[in-house]
Amino acid sequence: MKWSKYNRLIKSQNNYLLYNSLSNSFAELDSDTYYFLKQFKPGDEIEKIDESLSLELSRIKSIVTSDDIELAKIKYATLKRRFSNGKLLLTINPTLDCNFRCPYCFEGVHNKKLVMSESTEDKIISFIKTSGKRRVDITWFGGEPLMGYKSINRLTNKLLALNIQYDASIITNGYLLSDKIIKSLHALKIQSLQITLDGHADIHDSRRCLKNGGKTFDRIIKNIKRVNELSPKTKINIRVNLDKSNIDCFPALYEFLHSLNFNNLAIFPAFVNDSTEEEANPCVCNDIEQSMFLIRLFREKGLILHPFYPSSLRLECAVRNINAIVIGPEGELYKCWQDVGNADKIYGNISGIVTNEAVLLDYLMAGDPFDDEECKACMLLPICTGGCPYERIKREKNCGIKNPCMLLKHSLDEFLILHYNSKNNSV
Amino acid sequence: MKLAKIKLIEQPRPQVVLGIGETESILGGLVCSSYRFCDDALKSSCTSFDNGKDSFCGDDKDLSHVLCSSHASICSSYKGEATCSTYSF
Repeated sequence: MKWSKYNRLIKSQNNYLLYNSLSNSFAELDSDTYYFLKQFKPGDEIEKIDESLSLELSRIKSIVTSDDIELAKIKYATLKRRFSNGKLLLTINPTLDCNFRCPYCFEGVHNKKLVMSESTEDKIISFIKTSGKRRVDITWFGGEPLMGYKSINRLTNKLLALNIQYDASIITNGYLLSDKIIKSLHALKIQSLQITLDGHADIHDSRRCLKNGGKTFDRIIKNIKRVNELSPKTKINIRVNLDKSNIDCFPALYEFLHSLNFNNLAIFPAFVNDSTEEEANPCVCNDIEQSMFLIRLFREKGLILHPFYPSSLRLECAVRNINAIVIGPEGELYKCWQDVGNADKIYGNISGIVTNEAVLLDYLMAGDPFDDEECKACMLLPICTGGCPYERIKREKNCGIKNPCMLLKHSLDEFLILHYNSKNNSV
Repeated sequence: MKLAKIKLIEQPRPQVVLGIGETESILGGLVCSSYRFCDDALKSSCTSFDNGKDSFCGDDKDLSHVLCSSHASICSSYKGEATCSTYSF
């Protein structure tokens, strides 16, 4: 058995830690074991050790027959999921119109007034029928999807008539959530809402205003309270888009939302990316700044809003799967939400015609972390999904510089120590 | 050489078990800036929906086990954590 290259030995004060990314396990060692293991380099044969220690190291993959075989198994599991064919994962944009004018919105120039026609809705239903899938998940997206509420309503009724397993969620700015709409969420099978707040009232209103510049914060909060009253089982995810101009406002917003004491409410920070060619927007937080912010939140407020420990799930972005489809209001197909409204990224139409094979193939296969020499050399590949495929593909085609690596990579030891401390309540 | 103990803080995740006749693995997605869409099976198996946790899911440490034990249909031969065929689940 050999010492795995996916081991990380960490000494923190009087604590001796061993992390292994193949098994995503984490162990505390005594000092003798730590210094004994410290002498090995990746690939070294491990001999003459206590049998129980050998068994435990083998169980957590710190010693392996071959790292290559272990990684191949992870690649196999990833490919298997990529090519899984069990359900349709649709993102439907009933309109690209929006009642907001957020300065950082990524959606391109398009016919914003367009709302999905009943003819396009029928084609979506035909497409689902033809696919033979008995299970469909839909995310309503836009524009502001509630500006196409009639279309959502009609399409849902047509979907339910198919007698298939069906669930939905919606990404909305929350402004148009009237009592009538809130009461219809259950019938529409909408289990969760994602609503964005960018800070408390003044900050939020300066970034997420109406077309005419009008304020939106108070009305969104009122609507969130009504969702909690009228549809308490509907989960509300509050996304907070952060950049350097509002990052310090996050704790106050968190405390305010937390004080509402809603069981169905979750809050998560999302750092704004620069998706322009230049990728040089000075407002955007880089990886170090993002890490420091998360660490500060934990140290000062005890909040863990981004896990310090890698998830065991290794869920790759759904765009890698052929059945994950973004449908525009005219029935045009995209792979990624980021591309909505970008005519160059339309790969087909809802009638089932692929019009741009190159775009489709890129999203299915390009920028694969298992083909990337830097990724193959990285000790985090077993737990990393490769990051955002959109960014990976841009980078592979030399039109992007953004690092797709997970945030954890840049502060791995520090994050692991924080996780250890949080487990032991010794912040 | 006799050495002292290892104390596990985080258990190893289920292993990839290569086998014949595996069931369909489930599709998940990680979409934009840390917003994680869990599969339905995952969502419904989560016992808590708390602030500070991983989107829809409860405590990570229980996730693989909870999912495997609650959704045996996605595992070909679930008999314990180490026998789930679909790696992450």
